[in-house]
Amino acid sequence: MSDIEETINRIKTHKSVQGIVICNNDGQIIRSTYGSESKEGENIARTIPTLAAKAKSTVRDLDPMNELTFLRIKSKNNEIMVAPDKEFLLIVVQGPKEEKKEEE
Amino acid sequence: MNEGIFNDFNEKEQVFEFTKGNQTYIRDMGTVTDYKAKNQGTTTKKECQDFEQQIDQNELQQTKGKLFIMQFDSNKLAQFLKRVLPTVIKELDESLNLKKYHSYKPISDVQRKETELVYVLTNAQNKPVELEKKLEITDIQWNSNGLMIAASYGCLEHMGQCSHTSYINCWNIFKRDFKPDKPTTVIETNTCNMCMQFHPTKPNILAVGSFNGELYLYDVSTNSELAHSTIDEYYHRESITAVLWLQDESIMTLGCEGKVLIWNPERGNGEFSLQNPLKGCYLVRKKESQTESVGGVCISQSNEDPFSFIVGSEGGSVLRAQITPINYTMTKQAYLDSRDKGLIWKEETILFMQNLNQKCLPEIRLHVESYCKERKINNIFIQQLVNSKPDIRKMYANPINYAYEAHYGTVYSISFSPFVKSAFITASMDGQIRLYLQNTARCLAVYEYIQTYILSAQFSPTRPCVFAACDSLGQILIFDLTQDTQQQVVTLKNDGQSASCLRFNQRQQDLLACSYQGCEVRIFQLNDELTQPKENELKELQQLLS
Repeated sequence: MSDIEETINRIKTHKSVQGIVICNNDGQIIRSTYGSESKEGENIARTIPTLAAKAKSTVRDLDPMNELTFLRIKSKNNEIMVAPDKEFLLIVVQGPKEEKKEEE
Repeated sequence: MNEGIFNDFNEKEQVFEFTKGNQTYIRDMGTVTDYKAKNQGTTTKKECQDFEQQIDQNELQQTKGKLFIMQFDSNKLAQFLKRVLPTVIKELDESLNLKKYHSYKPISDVQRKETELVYVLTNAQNKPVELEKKLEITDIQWNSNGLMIAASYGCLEHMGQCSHTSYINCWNIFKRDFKPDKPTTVIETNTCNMCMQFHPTKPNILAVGSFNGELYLYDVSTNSELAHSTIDEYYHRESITAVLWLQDESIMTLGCEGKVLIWNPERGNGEFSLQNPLKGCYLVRKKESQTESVGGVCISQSNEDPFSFIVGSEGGSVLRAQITPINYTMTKQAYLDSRDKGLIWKEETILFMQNLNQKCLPEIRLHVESYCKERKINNIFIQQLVNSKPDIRKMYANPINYAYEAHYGTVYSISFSPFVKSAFITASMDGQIRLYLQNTARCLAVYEYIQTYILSAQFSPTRPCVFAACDSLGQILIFDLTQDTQQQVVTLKNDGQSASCLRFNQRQQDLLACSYQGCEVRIFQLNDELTQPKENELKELQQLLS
């Protein structure tokens, strides 16, 4: 267990990280740094795995020998990074420091 | 992994899919243990918010008892995390280092890339009259809901008094049967109109200043005149050059002769009256030991201090005036009680008196009272006060308390920034657009255009670093300080006709209206680059200004 926590912590303490969600490919949350009241983590877990699956199949469609390794979604307010795997998805939301402060 | 539990979980979720409360209950349960476990691992770094959650979860656990546990192979997860950690850290670092990448803005699918001319507004029916009388558009204004644009017409070549018939045309550009060459409303006026302003909240009320010095109030929806003021030595005697609605819904007018008057038109029950102003100021400057009145051309209210106004003059001065709003509390009632002398100061007169220059009040009082005694007048209305002709310099205080670095020609417009409250820009005949801060006499930046007059300049209502100006060559110059601090980034050219007046729509914020010689108003729809606020833009402007 501690290994997992250590890794999560390392990412979490990285500058400008807003939140982390680890879920399985069905979108069930395994770990989330978002509070259970806020829908944010839940929304991420619901939507990102579908997108990741789509990206995965797109990459493979273009080249059957290729494989999706990492997914980075840049948006106006933040950046969502997705590390895909057979079973799990690590989703890291990164945003500008100022905004993080404002939110706090 | 226990599949039985999972199936159970899924089944239940389906059952309760439409009963929100129950569904969330199960979901919460699903994450309960996770939280607990996570918190255990990172207790020292937890904030109290999380701590509270932990307690809640524990309570839930105790009261509700049953738990669904999200099962997973923790070994596999640990391996996965270990494997992706370097990549994630690398990616995180990378995106921090790539500053350029951060400011990259993709062109989203709804974006407007080009600034387009959407309408050319004219009054085709009136064209011969406009030509015959040499009318030009003197001012344009959007109304408070941003749906209508009004243009005031006036002749620019006057010999003495004005006796022209002129117009105010209003186009409701969002109306379904709107035609660009046919105004929705045409108001015919007996004098040339020089400036106007819509009521800040009532979209149909328009205050208009005339060339002769009268202030008119119109209802554009019914095409009717609500009230108008008279010409007097103590009111405006020359052209009104600027009209402003103040916060308390009174109207401030600036006259060419240097008077600033405040009127309160509301009389309740939809009645309006502009019989007399309730407050007056007289802009005076000392020049070589001689006092001269300042010919005011434009005025703008400060966003920082609502009693501060910046006035631009014919001579090029940029001055700050301190003008307090009308004082309605009757404080001078006891003082102006002259019943023992057989004189009755009427309430309206008292109200007017207490808003005059307080230093000279006793002198004016004596003057008026002796005038009334001579003529055996018992009731002192404002008319009597005015008729007695007290010294105007004594009646109206001089509100000027600060002078900024002056322009070399008439200052045509002043516009405050809606974001940095002390910053304002001026446009002048000398071809300069200047950026000032309210508390600094020297201007911060000068944008100079040789051989043109800059006739109007205004800050963008959406982007702190953007402002626009128009000049006598007919160009609209749009500045974006984030891109270029030296010159304009966009020039909307025009063939010859000068552009006199430029107004951003404060509601439909991508619309910019500009009036041109030949009685034409053009409405531009600005591209998103110029209207969508950028990240850290305000900070950038503040840095530029400091």
